[in-house]
Amino acid sequence: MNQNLVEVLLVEDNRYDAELTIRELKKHNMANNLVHVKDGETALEFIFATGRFAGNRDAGCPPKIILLDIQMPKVNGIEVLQKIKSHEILKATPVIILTSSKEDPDIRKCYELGANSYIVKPVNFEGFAEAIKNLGFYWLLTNQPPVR
Amino acid sequence: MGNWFKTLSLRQRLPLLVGILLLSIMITFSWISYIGIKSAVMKTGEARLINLAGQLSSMYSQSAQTILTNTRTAGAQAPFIKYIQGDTTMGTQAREALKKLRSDTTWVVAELTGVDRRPVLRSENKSISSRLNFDSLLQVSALGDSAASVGKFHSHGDSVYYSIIAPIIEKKQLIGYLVRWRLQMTNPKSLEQISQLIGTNARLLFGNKDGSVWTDLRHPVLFRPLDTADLRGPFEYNKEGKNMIAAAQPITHTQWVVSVSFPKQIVLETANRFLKWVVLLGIVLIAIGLFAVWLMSRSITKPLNKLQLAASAVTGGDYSSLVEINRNDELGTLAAAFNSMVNQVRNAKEDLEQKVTDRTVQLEMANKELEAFSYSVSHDLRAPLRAIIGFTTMLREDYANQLDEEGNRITGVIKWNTEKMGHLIDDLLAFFRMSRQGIKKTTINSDEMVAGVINELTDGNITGNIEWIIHPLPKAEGDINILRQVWVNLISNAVKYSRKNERPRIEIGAFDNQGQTVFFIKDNGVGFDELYKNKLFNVFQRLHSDEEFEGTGIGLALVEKIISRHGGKVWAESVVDKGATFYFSLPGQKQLSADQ
Repeated sequence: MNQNLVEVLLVEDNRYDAELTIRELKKHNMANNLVHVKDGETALEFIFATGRFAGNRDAGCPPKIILLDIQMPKVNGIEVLQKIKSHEILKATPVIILTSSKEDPDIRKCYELGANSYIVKPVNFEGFAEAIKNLGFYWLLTNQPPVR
Repeated sequence: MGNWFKTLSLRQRLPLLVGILLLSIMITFSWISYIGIKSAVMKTGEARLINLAGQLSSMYSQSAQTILTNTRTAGAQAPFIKYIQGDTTMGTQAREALKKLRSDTTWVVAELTGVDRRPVLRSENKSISSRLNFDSLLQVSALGDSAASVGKFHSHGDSVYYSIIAPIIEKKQLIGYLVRWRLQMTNPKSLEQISQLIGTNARLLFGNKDGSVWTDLRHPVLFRPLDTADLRGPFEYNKEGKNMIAAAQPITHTQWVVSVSFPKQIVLETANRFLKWVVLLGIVLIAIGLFAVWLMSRSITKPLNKLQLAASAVTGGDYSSLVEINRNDELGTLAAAFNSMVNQVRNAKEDLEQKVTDRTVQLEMANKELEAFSYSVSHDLRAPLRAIIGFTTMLREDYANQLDEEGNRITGVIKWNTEKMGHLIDDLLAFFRMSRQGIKKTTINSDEMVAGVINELTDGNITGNIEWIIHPLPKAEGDINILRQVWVNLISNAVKYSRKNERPRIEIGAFDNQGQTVFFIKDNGVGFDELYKNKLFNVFQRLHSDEEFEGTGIGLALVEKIISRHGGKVWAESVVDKGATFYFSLPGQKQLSADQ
C-alpha cells in the first residue's frame, strides 16, 4: 500500500475495537487504504513521517481522515489532536474522536482543540456498526476534503 | 409609668431611682425633725412667755404695793386727819401735803374725800382734771372699806388713768380717803429697760382684769378681752395679719392683768432656720448623691458599652476586638469571661474553618476520584463489553451456518447479558451523576413535559392500546432536565408493568397536600406486593424477575434521589394485579395552573 495514499488513519489501542471498526469499514468498502496504529506515538510518527516512518512517506500527504481514540498509552489522543491541529497544513485534516464514554471530561477540550467530530462508541454492536458506517460515508464520501 | 421607665437607659435609671430615694428620705427626715423642733421651740417660747408674764406681774405687784403703802402712810399724816375732822386751819398745810403727793406731772390729782367719797380738798392739774370727771369715776371704783387699792384703768382720749385709794383711819374709825389719780405714762427710758428685759419683739400690755381697757403703758390700745382660760395657759391672737402667741398674769394688789406676746414667727424662727438649713443641706446631699451615682452608673455602663461594642464586632465576625476593662469587680470578671469566650469562639471558628477546608479538600479529592472512577468505569468496562457483543455478532454473522439452534441461542444469551451489563453501567453512572450534579430550578410546564415524555415513549403513537387519562397539571419548580427523568422513569414503568393487561390504562394527575403539589401516575398493571415497598426505591432492588419485566433496578432509585434533591418525597401504593400508583411531591408551587 502506498503510504502516501492513505485514506483512513485509525489510531486505536484496543485491538478488538480496531478490528470491529475495520470490519465495518471494510463491509462498506471504505477500508482499502486504511492504516491502523496502536498508540499516539506511532500515530505522530506516521503523520509527521518521522521515526519508523521517516523516509517511508511524505508528510505533505496526510490521510483523508483520522479516527482517533482518546485513551491510549504513552501519547494520548488529546496530544495527538493538539499536534495535528497546530500544524499549518495538517490542521485541515478532519479528525474524528472516538471514545468509549460520554462521561469523558475531555469532550469540550477536544472541540476547543479543533476536533471535527466526536463519536461515542456504543456498547451494542448494531449501534457501533451504524456509527462507523455513517462516519465513513460522511467523511469519506459526502464531505469535501480540502484541496491539496 | 412602668413602660416609660423601661425606655430609660441604665445610666438614667440608676440616678433617677437614687434621686427619688434621697429626696423622699430627706423630705421625711427634715419634716419630722422640723415638726419636733417646732413643737420644742413653741414649748420653750410658751414657757418663756408664762415666765415673763409672771415676773412682770410680781414686779408690778411689788411697785403697786409700794405705792399703796406710801399712799396709806401719806393719808395718815395729821393735817389730813385734822382737816377731814373739820379743822380748817389745817387747810393750807393739807393742801401743801396734797401738792407734795403730786411729785411729777403724771400725778394729775390728789384729793381728800369724806366717807361718802365726796371730795373735801383737791390738788390737781387743772388742764387734765377739767376734761375728766374723776368724781364720777371714783364713785364706780370698787373700794374696800379699810384696804388701800389700785383702781382700774380708765381711758380718756389717748391717755389712761388709774386711781390709788387709801382709807384714812383715825382711832379705828374710817373718816375719809386719800385718792390719787395718775396718768399712765411710763417714761421711754423705763420702757426701753423693760423692752430689754422681755425682748424687742415682745409686746407688753396692761389691762383691767375684765379686759375693758388695755394700755401699752403710754396709750390705750385695743386688745381682746380675756377669760380665765387665758390666764392659765398661752393663747394666740392675730395682730395686723400676724399670728401672736401670748401669756397673761393678774397683778396682785391691783385690778390689772399683764400680758406679754411674741409674734409666732419669731418663736418659730429657729425652727424655720433649721428647716432652711436642712433643705439646703438636703439639696447639697442629693446633688452629691446624684453625682456619685452618675459616676457609678457611668463606671458600670461605660464598660457595658465596651462589651456591647465588642459583642457587636464579634457578631459581625471581627474576633480581634477584646474588651480592656481592668477592674476587680464583677464587670472585670465579666469582661475577662467575655474575652475568653471570644477567644474560644475564635478558636472554635478557626478550628471549624480549618476542618471545613480540610473536609472540602478531602471531599474534592473524593469527588475527583469518583469522577475518575466513573470515567474509567464507563470507559474501561464498556470496551470489553463492546468486544464481547461485537465478536459474538461476528460469530453469528460469519459462522451462522456452522452454528446449530442451540449455538445461536447461546450467542443470543451472551449478547443479551452483555447488553444488559451495558445498561447497568449506564444507569449506575446516571445515578451517581445525579448525586454530583447541581440543580437549576425553573418553572416547568408539567402539562407540556408529560405530553412530551408520553409522545417519546410511545413513538408518537399515543392512540395505541393504552388508555391515557391525563388531568391538567400544575406548574412545577425544578430542574427541567432532571425532573424530566422522573416523568420518563415513572411513565415508562407504568407502560411496562401494565402491558400484560389487555386494556392498559394510565392516569396522570396532581393534587394539593398541605401546600405541596403531589403528582401521581396510576396504572392498572401488575402492581407489587406492598410488603416489599420499602425496597422499591433502593438501588438494584427489583420486585419482579428480569424474565417477567426487564430492568436494572435503578430507575426508581434515581427517581427517589431526584425528588429528594428537590425537597420532595416519593411513595407508592399498590394492590397486586390491580395496579400501582406512584406519588411524588414537590415544594414551592402553590397554585394550580390557570386552566384548572
